[in-house]
Order: sequence, then structure tokens, then C-alpha cells
Amino acid sequence: MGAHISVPMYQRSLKSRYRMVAEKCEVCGGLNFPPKGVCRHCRRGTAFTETALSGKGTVYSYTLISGAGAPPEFAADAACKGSYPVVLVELAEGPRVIGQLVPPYEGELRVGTPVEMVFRRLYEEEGVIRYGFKFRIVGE
Amino acid sequence: MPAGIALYAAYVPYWRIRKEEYQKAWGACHADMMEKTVADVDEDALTMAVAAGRRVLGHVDPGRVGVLACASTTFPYAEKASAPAVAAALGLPPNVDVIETGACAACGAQALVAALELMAGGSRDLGLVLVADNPAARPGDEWEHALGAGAAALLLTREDPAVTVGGWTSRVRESLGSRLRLQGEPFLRDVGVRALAYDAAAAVAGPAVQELCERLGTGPSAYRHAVFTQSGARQVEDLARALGFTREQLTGGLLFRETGDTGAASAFLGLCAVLDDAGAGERVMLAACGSGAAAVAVDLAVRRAGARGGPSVRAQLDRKGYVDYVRYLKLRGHIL
Repeated sequence: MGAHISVPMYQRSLKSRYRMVAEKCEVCGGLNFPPKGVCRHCRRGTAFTETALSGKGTVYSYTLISGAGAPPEFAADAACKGSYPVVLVELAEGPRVIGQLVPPYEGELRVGTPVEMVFRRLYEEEGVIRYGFKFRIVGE
Repeated sequence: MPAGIALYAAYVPYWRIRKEEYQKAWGACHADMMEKTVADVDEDALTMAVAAGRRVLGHVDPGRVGVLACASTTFPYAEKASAPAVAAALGLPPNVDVIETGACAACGAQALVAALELMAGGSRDLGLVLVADNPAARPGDEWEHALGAGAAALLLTREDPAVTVGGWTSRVRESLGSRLRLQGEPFLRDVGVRALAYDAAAAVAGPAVQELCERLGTGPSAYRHAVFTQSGARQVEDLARALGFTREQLTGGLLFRETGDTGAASAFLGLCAVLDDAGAGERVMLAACGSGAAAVAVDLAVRRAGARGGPSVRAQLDRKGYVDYVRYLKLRGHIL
């Protein structure tokens, strides 16, 4: 297994993974997402208030992962689809975050494309289903 | 005022498989559909319930939701509540009252009436009913051909609902041999006699609808629309005709030919489709039934159009991509 994340570690990050809850630094007001122990903006703040992000943003950059490039926990996804896009999203509130892009995306994926979060199954490990966010291209 | 529906939303997955794919793979398609919905490899009943729920909660503060009712025959864990995951994903308060129903395709309507009863206590502001399903059977089984996926969300309120609930009636009758799955089994099966499913559905849905009409002093002609649980198009048409409903009353909510059998979600996707086009004053008979057998008939009346919380069912049915049968088996997890 590649990037093993234990159940207790996953449990601690549920709010950010299920609903994109960020932490606002009480020293500088900077938004940290995913949450960090020390504020990544001022590098001093260690106290935060929770704030839910909108889940909306635009594609800052992207890549296509195929074949042997898939992390083992996404092997089932990769085997099913052959390849899948991963996007670096600049969220409306500022933070940039990486996630998979769900279909449909053929011909629509470029830098600047508006996306929003969706709640999906990421992978299963230790008999525990790991849910979290991915992104979809915005459109009816 | 008793609780009713403030907002509703459907969730239809993006993928479809056509009847022709089954004909190529198996020589015949044993479902009277044109195509059906297919959940993606990273979707299940839980993610689809959340997707539908996010659509209605985009319009209100999730912190006001006091009742959460989740219904599915296919939530991913046999033991481990699904409502906490839904609540976490939707940002609902930790003291929300939860109801989880399953075990048969009538579970969505059972969740709805249970939520309405909890709301009637008066201390809860909003209620959320999520009905999602992704039934599965062995690929070699004829009736696997029909199985689709989908979800719907209803946001309940006691203040000025857009759709009111006039009443409901339940019916149960012990019925053996149709659509069953023992503990630990992954796939639905039956004893191979299709008539048993017809009989079981008719034995509970029929009396439930008739008793509700008697109690309310209505009859089939009082309703602009009738929406049933849909495990087959002809099955619904036969049942409705026997009860005195016309084909025209079924048209708006009978989605089977485009979605397949979406289990517990089918009646609620049908309800969403009907509400998409319904005008003020129109009445809807919702009749959900499932194997076992159990049925709940619900009388609904539209007070105000425009309670749609997300894209229309039609828009979602038209926005689609097709998979071939091999891809379908992979999305379903049969050959991965």
C-alpha cells in the first residue's frame, strides 16, 4: 500500500474531507485548507476557527494519471477507467487543493474551467470505505 | 399546519447503458426499458443520497435540520449507521433525530411518513428525507438487466410548504419468494417466478391506495398524477390500470424506460419528475411498495410550483454518457 492513512488519522480529517471545512487562523486570519497544526500563512498561529468552504473554484492546473501512475489506493479507479484526471483547484476562498475530476470532462477540461466539489468514494482500506471530495465541472 | 415539502431534488447518475448492450451480451434484454442509469465506480447509495441532499440544502442553513431520514436497500454497510456520514457530509447538527430504513423498496415512503410524524411534534424546524438506491444482482440473472441507480431528496417544513401531505396508509402482507437477499449476500435474487413479484406488489399497493382514497373521500380521478415504485414499466401500468388510474396519470412519473429499476428511489425520482411540471392545485398519489411485502400510499397536493432544488429530472436524464457492457461490469465491480 502506498500512501497509507490510518483510520484514526482519517477520522481526524473527516470535516475537511467530507465537507471542505477549513481553519481560519486566529492570529493572521489566513485560511488553511487542508487544516495544518501551524498556520501556513503567518507560521505563528496555532488556534483556528472552523469555516466551511463553498467547494467552488476553478482549475488552476491538471494532469492525467494512467496505467502505473495511479497510487495503489486508487488502483480500482484506474483499472476501471484506464486513466483519470487530477485537478489542482483554486477555490473561491483562495486555497488551492488537489482532487480527482469525475466524468464528464472530455473536451471540457482546461485551465480556468469552473468546478465544484462532489462527495464520492475514494477507496477502501482495512474494510473501511474512505469517502471524500472530488470535483466535477460545473454545468446542469 | 402539518409538515409538507419545501424543496425537492433528484440525483441521476451520469452513465447509461442501452438495452442493445444486453442484447449483444446475453442475446436478449429482459427489462422493458430503452436504457438505464448506472452509478459510477466511486458512487454508492450513500454518495448519491448526499448529492441529492446537497442540492436542497444549497438553499437553507443545514443547522436548522432537526430530522434526517435516510432510506436505501443498498447503503454500503450492513452494520454501521449511514446517517452520521450523511450528516457529516451535509453539515447537519449533531443532535439531529435520525431514521434509517431499508429492507425493501417501500423504505423511502416509510422514511417520509416517519419523518413527517417526528416533525408533527413541533420542535423541529426542517426535516430532510433522502432516498437512494443502487440495487445489484448476479450478471447472469435475467432480472439484473433492469437494475439502475438514483436518489432523491425532500426537504420538509411546517411553515408554508410548497407541497402538502394529505395523509397516508400503510399495508403489509407476508409474501414469499420475490426480490430477496439473505444477510451477507451481495446479490438480489428470487425463486424464478416473476408472477410472485406482481402478486406481492398488487396485494399491498392496491389496498393501500384504496384505503387512503376511502379515508380521504377521493378516488383515482382526483389525482392528476400517480407515481409508483418501478421494478418494470408494464408492471406499473398493469397495477395502475387495475386500480383505476389511466396511462395519462402515469406518464409524468413513470421513468423506468429511461432509468431502469432504481429500487427505493424509483417512486421518489418519479415524484420529482411530476413536481418539476406540476402546477398549483394538482394532486399526486405516491404509492411505494417493496418485497416482503409492504406498501405506503401517500396523498400529496401541490400548493405552489417551483420547489425544485436542483436540475430537473428531464435535464438530468438528457445529460448522459453511454457505457458498453464490459465497462458496465467494471463500474458495477463485477470484474475488478
